[in-house]
Amino acid sequence: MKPGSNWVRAEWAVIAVAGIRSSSLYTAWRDAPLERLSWLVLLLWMFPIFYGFRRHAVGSQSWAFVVSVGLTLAGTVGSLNVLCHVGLAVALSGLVRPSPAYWPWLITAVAWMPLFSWATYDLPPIAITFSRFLGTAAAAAFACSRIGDSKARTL
Amino acid sequence: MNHSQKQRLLWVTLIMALVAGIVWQWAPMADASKRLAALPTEEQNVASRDLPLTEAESSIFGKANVVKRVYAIRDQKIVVVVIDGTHDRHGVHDPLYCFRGAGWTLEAQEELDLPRGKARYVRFTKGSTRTEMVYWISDGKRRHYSPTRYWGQTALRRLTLGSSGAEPVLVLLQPAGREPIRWREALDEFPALLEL
Repeated sequence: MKPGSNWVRAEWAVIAVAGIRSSSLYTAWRDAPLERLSWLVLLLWMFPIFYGFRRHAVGSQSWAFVVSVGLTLAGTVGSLNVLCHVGLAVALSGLVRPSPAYWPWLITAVAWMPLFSWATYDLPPIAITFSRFLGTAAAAAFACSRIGDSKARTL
Repeated sequence: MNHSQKQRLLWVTLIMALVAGIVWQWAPMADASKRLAALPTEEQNVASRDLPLTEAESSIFGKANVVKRVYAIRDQKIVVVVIDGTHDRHGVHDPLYCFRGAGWTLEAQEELDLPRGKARYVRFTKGSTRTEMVYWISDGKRRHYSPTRYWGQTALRRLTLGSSGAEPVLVLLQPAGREPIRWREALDEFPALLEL
């Protein structure tokens, strides 16, 4: 599916809402010492999406957008930022074509979330940062290598 | 289902979720302000004075209700911070995560038995500086120190509009000076802290 076609409207709205509800990420990047580089990890994690756009191999997995709406709503109502962050990851992942690399890549989204440093805060900060970048780079590379393996599902 | 039907369905789902989220957040929910207000400022062998929040604390706690006092309990001085996150759940942070993130190294930790629950004692070092802290989370009935349990409790409470129980509050105790505190003695001397 080519970018610019009219499929994107509702999906982009879902991504925008999930992004707005995940604005705590920005606060974390600004204020939390263990999160200072997480925005870079997010960009790295999004590389398969950019790569898919560049190759005109964008997916549209409708289930991902519906699940994202549910997670974002639950995160908003329950005051759980982590659910909004997962909702954002799932929404963004809806732009990637399903492939064997999809799930490993989606799971590594946790690396750009504050949840990761919270769960690993016993480790030295350098180890937390290193494992974030390494895991994300490996998963993103795997996902990019599989883009085009399967056809996009359209809404 | 064709493309435009799916689009329409996704739009409807999104708009309904947005409306539900806004309505839900406006629904009134009882906070823990009465429990915080009930914390005595004076008792036999206990005196206190309110402390202002620092700029950093005000920013961290957001709209949460906070009581910050220094208590003199016999010969010991303790800073007590109680945070009720009813109006801003994100103002309540995991103390361990915050200290580790700020570069402190965990030197020791221990569980303290409390009536109907447990607290956590932790000691941190940063260079030549050392600090210690006792904290617990209380809904007025049970006490624990697990942040994940706190998230679960508060999320459930919000999802059920407060019917799952009272709002848990975070109680943090730190020495007001450099001297280590005899925590057990202080808690025994001022049991009102355990009634929060």
